Amino acid sequence: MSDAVVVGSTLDTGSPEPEEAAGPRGVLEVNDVMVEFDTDAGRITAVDGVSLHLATGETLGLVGESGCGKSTLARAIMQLVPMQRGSVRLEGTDLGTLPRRELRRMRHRIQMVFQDPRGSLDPRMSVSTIIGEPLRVHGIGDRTSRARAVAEAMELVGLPTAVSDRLPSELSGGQQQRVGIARAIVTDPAVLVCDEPVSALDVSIQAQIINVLDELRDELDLAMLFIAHDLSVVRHLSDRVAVMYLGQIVETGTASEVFTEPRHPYTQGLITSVPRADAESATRLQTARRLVLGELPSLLDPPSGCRYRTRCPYADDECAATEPPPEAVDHTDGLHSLRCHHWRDIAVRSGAQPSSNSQEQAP
Amino acid sequence: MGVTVAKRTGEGPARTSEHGVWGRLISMLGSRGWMLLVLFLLLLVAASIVPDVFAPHDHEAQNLRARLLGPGESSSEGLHLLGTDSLGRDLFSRMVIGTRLTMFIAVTATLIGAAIGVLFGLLGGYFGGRTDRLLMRLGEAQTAMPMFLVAILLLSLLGPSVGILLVVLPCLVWPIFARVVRAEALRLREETFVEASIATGCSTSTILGRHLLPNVAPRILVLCVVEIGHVMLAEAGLSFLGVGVQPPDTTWGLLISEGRPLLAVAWWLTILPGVLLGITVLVLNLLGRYWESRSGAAG
Repeated sequence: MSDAVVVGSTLDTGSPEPEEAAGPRGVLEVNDVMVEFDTDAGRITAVDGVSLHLATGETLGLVGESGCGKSTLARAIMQLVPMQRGSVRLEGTDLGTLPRRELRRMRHRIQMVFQDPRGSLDPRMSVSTIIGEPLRVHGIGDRTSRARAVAEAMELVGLPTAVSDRLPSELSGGQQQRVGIARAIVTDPAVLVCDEPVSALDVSIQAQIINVLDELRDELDLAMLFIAHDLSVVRHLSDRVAVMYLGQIVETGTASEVFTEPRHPYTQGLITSVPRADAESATRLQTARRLVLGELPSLLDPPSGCRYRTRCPYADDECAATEPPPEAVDHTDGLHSLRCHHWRDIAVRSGAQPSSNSQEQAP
Repeated sequence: MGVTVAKRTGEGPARTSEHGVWGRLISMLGSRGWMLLVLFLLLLVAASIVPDVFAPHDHEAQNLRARLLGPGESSSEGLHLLGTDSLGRDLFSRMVIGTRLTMFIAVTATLIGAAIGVLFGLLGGYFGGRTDRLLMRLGEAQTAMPMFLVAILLLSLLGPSVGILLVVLPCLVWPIFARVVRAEALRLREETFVEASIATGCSTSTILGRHLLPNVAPRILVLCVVEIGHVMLAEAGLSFLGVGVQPPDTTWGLLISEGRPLLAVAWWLTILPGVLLGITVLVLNLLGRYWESRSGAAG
């Protein structure tokens, strides 16, 4: 991205005091966000008191079943759905309280890649128009510098120049998603929100797109929120992982910790549910095998107390009575925390072991 | 010829509407048939731009010795292809001259109506809620009123003029455009690319103008073609009733009206402009529906 262009735009439209506000916690701070929807059947709380933070260059993987509120959280962060409670601070600026106009001007700092590559592109716009649109609507650069920035972005995501004049329908799914990614990075945002960017793609294409995102993150120093239900994908990309269940984050920690020493029964179940051809890990996990059983309870009528108790093998009366608060696992980095009354007992009972190398390899 | 061509090429005609009168008419025309329709429209356009090229006689030249000549008869001036009227004026030349005003009024009124309808439809469909209800009720109220009677009232109060026709006729068509565009906007606003535009930082006017409008444009164009025909009929109706275009200006509708008292003695004065009007409306309808079926099959 041409530096002059980006610096100029930051001065014009950026937050009042970005350097002061962007403290140690990072460029994106999400605090106690709650999103409710009215449906025909009643009011549902899709996201219930979620907090998370992202530092520059860091990737947070957000995992959970379909319908747990991951995408709604992404949309709340992007200010695409209204929040009932909580705040989203981007480089120190609270997006939720900004007037519409100011919010619009801030948007080039936080961009999103959507799940449906084809649907997220205007079918009547050419590839180069789509990628250049964020620059155009934010008035960044002039015609020639915009064309240059578009060409650079296309190169970064691996799109051949020959496709610039094509329509989205003339591209393959992988190329369409590359266009979506190019559009998201062309303004050189601080934060990139990826909402299941590969789940609509063929498996053979998924790896390519993941690699594109991986390279971009390093090259552009992006803070990335990566949402997926595919654990192996998340594991490959993420520095930290947050596990979501029924609108709440039930466990969060560094990727290696969460994947090798999952503490919350739901996380354990999720990780065990991933089919593995690896015999060693299969035997190791046999003792602690706890597949997630049954269906996700209805958001219309979430369980009392701990939300996972209806499917949890360890649930007892306490779980039904009181909601477990987020609790830090005593660990060196102090970032690992979870919501479970019994995690200490579970660790003993299931014989959770310290990191094993067999789990360390990339998928 | 049309049938065989359609079968041989296998492309084109109406995949979406195989049944019904329109469907059958559409499938009867092969790809060459469509060229004929387009050619006919081009001729009309040419006739409205340079009528003198097409008119064999001066349309205002009276010749009392050549009154009410039937089609194909000749006077001292030469052949009168479609006959003459009660003042001996050449009917074909008058129809050619009338094309310009007929086309001008129909096209302009349709475009004005389309502009209003598209704007209201986009706003209502995209914003929904109260805006939508207000705009759509307005359209319904308008549709519920017998607009033809209102038009007659207006025109007889204010005096007939082309200007007032261009106010009255768009009122007949804008609710149709508004309904179609609103339905499209309702569908499009749920598309991810609209959400993506908001996330990108597009303003509402950018979303409406640069994303929604181009996506409904093909349907608007098709509708325009069909509605031009309907407006033409409405104008002819008003002119026939004497509240539309006034002599010495002339349109096809006015020619029909002028010929009516002489229907028993000179049928061509009424029937021939009527046939031209009918064919034009039919051609516009067919073309509109044909394009609609084509774009439906493509998209």
